[in-house]
Amino acid sequence: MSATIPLKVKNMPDGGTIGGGVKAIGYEILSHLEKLRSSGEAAAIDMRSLPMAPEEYQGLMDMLGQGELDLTIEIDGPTHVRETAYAGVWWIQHKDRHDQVLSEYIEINHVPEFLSAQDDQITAAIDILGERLKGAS
Amino acid sequence: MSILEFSRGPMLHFALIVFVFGVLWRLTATFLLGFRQRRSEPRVTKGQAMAGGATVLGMRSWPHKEFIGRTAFGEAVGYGYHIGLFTIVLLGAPHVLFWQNLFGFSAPWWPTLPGGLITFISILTVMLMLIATIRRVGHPVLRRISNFDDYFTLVILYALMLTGLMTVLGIGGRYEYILAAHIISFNALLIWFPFSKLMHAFYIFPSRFLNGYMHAKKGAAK
Amino acid sequence: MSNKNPRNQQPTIGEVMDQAGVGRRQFMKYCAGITAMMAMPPLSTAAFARDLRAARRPSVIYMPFQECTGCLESLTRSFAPALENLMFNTISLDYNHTLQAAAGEAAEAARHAAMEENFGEYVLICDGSLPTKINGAYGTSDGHTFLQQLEEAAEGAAAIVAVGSCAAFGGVAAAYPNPTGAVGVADLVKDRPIINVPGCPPMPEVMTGVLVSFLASGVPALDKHLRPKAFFGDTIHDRCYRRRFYDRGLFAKSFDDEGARNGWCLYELGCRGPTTYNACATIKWNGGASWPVEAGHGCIGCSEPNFWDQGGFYEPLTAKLFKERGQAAAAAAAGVAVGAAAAYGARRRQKKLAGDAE
Repeated sequence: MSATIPLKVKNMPDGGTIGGGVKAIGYEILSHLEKLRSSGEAAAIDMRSLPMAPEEYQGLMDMLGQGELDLTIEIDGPTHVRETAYAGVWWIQHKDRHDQVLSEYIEINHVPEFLSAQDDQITAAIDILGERLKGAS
Repeated sequence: MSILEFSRGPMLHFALIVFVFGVLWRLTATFLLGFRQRRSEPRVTKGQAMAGGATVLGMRSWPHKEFIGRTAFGEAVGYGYHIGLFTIVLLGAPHVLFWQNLFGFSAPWWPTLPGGLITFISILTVMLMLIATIRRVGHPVLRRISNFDDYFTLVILYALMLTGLMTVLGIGGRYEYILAAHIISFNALLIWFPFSKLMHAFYIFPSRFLNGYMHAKKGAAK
Repeated sequence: MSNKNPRNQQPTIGEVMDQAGVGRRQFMKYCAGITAMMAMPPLSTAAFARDLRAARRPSVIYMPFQECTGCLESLTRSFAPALENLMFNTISLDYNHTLQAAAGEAAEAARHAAMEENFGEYVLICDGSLPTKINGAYGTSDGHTFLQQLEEAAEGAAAIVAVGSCAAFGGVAAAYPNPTGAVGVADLVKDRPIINVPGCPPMPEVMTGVLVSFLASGVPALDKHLRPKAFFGDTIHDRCYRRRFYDRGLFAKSFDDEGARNGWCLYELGCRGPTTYNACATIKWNGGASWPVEAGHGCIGCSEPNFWDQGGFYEPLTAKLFKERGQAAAAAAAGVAVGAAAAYGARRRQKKLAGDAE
């Protein structure tokens, strides 16, 4: 993607008031982003390991904002994959069928790991497609 | 019994009893020694002598004009870490809780300082203690009047300060072990206290006062 | 888990999942819940999922001893992974006499069959403490003492998971004066890997999470009480959302004062958070709805050994440090007496010296 094509950011936070705890997480995300750019190393921050009061959680959500993508995938309960206002920073939340949060994390990656195909699956796909093509000769 | 339970159970218990016993032993022994009979005529009234005592108490607690250049730094460092220690012990939230629980009273009015500030003061205090230690070792006169007593007290004090900081900062191991080490250092301080120069806490002001009182009585005060 | 036993016909978890039509991302999602809970880096989920898929679905034998079924009640309320998912997909629960339909001799026969078939490879879950006094006669079932049953079941177990503070440390039955001589599993079994999952009850997600992670990567890193560090690595206090109030010296002094309403620290009301290692503050209970401290009650330290005998639940951790006021007074009196004697002796010496000088 060329840098000249701007990403459509739906809700860019104004940055007016960022609380202390939220700021610390912000800096952690920032350092991960810099690492992603320099070495391609992805990272993730588990939200549930951070003791946060509801207002801090809201503060973090406000700081992250809303980027171009906002996906809801139905896999045995909804999974939300949201691009934040900062490219490369994703907010991912898995819920079960009863709307209980299974896990929630911020991933700093080009594409969330959850969405990309895994090697063993690709190996299986090669076999299956190969068989299909042979069979369809 | 875990080490933490031991440190704040039987060991604390023992240390407190030794402390109370030892301090009272030494204070009683000192004050019952009595005074040598003064044969000279009192030059001032009893009230004036008392005032003289109070004056010396105040004067000795401040650098003398004559030597201020040489002693001010040492005294400032000394005051600094003493004030630091008292602030930590009397205004740090966990310590206030400890005193209340130890003596079994509730004091909602007792003020505490924010933990971050106490941590900052602690670090500052340790630094001042380091300066005082270096000065003690480096200064030719101070070195000569220092003995095992002074250094052992310092070792306990450093252990107390460092374990306390480690507890708060969560470094060096599991919380309960570090906390136990902190309490054991405190117990060691209590046991060592009555038999060491730490007794200056009780002697320093009465002795200054008495000095001034005697001199005033003899008419030797200025 | 390797398939050393030729009798083990258990399919891999991956095969079971494929058969059940569980999609890859659905499985990833399931694994993401577990890795997040275990504080594994979220990006390790893919590797974890791969290992778990390759693992053989293990036979699980759940043995109840001196217990109250509270742990099982808790286990059935696991949200992620849910117990029913776990039971149908990930493990083969071959014996649990509370959940299974079979009873009596049929149930015991099923247990023995499963133990023989999966010898050396089944996971043994123990619930409840083991009474040791009068040769274990305080606890018997099917004509055998619990001690005998444990010995027999432990022999072929690949690992033992002791759920609840009773199985881990003896729990309430071992509380003073411990009339039955109750002990935990680790006090008796020394030659099998044991994972303690204490709590009264333990957190459901911790129990299921430990099981699943054991399948994917074997016995996890344990602390000195054999508890998985992933769940028992931090104190409640360190992860508590009320910690900031402790740091600022703001404490609730009673359960309905201004401080309690403001959500201040519950330390002075007896909270055991600083000395308790558990995951309540992060995973929370009932699918993340709340947890004791959030509900306004201090931690009682139920995942620590001997927590029943650590003084009143409403006394601060440091309470009653010094109860023996009489002894202190005696020490003071003794100090005064010794001091007076010393002074007397010194004065006599002084006088004698003065007399000699004259």
